Amino acid sequence: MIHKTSNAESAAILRITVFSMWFYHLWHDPIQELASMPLVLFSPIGVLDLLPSDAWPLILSGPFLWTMKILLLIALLLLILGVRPFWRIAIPACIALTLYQGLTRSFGKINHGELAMLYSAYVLAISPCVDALSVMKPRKSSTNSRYAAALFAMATVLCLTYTFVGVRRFAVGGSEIFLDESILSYVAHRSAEPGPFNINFGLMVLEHPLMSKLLEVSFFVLTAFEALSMLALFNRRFRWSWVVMMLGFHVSTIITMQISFSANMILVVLLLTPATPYASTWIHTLFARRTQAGRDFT
Amino acid sequence: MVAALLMRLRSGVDAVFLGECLFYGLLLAWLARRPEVQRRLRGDDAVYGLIIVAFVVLLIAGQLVSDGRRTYPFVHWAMYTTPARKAPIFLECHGVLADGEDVVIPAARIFKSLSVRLTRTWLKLAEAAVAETDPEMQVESWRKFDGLVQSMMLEYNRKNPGSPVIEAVVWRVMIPASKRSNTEAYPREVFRRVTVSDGEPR
Repeated sequence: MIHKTSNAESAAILRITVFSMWFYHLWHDPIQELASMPLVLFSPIGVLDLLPSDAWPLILSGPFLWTMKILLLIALLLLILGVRPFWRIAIPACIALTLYQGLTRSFGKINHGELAMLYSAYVLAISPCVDALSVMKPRKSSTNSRYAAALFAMATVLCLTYTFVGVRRFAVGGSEIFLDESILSYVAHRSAEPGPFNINFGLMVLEHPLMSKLLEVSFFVLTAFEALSMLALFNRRFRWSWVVMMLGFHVSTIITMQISFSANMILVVLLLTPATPYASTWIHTLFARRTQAGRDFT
Repeated sequence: MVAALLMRLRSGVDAVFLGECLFYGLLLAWLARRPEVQRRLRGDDAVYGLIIVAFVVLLIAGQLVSDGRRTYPFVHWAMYTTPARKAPIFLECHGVLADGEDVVIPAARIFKSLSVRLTRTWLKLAEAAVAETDPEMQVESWRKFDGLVQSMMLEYNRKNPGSPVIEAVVWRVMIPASKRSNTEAYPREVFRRVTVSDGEPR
């Protein structure tokens, strides 16, 4: 099973990575520009609908968006540094991240690019992940099984999101979606339209019949892997093929469809490969050696 | 979430819903039987384990409800599940500057926060306005469409000091079924012209 040998450093690596990804994302996101969008297009989604409608002109104003961005950046920095009491910062930060991501989605399509990262932040907010690699004084660590539970929970949530996609595609699309060249039209559309990266490599791929056929076959194989994602938690052989498949898929969607799931790629590597156990063992050994050297010196 | 699930049930139970309920029920049962999972739901980790179980159940409920607009942040994941259009279209925006020059407006990069969410919404608004049969509603649909174009142009002007855009020309571009790599040859037509005026579009 994955993360059997997790320690405080493993959970801390995930904490630093996830909140750093959020920090980077928010730092480069000019959310204050939403103040220039027509309010008539704004329709609050999900939990955002719990807020009174009178509040939206204020929330979608430049000063509020700027304030939210700055406060959230400060909170994320504190979370990266592992400042305690962790959950008192992490839970409000997760609420603010939910509002921030909800705002952009309330102007139209609900996409999924950042959702795995959001769910990871939720899991971390209630997990023991500041017992190592923190600027605060070290304190009594939790049991290793608690750290393992946190990482296992994050991996479960990540795999579940892939399962949703695969199962829904089989359930709704049936065999038709794989046989009617739909994927070729989707690639053509996403590649040709003016997108965020302006890479239309997908159009070149579609010019080659063999490549087009390969695309259709891999669409089916990918969907099967997605539907079986939960197996990756328990079966090592399947996990490796799953990781290769998903990383390949995410790279190919960037260059052929201008769709980036970069946060998912990082999470897949950290949660479903030995990257985190190796890094945490290395860090643990390094710190232990330093402590020992300090003791020997005194 | 519960209200949304009840609404989904009230609106009719279809085979996809039943099939997915069965699948996720079996998946949860399979997970619950795994010794690794059972260990986490006992002893010191029980409370933490139960919170995570509740979280997973919410994620699955969000998927089953299939109405992300109601259930966010627990939305449904349904990508490329329906057959694609054989002749997809997209919108391309050109701006006519005050000095007469024509510039292409990178719609997906004007509001970086929204990116392609904006272009999808934009296309949806265009299709809704064209399909609307009620004249009053159609005026309202066009007002929304034009408002979005105005916002894009004003944002473009703000980011590009110099000669401002005074008119937006929206082109409808059709992607052919073959020879797709020659984007210059795509059939295109002027879809709408919007005069850009200063002031708040809100």
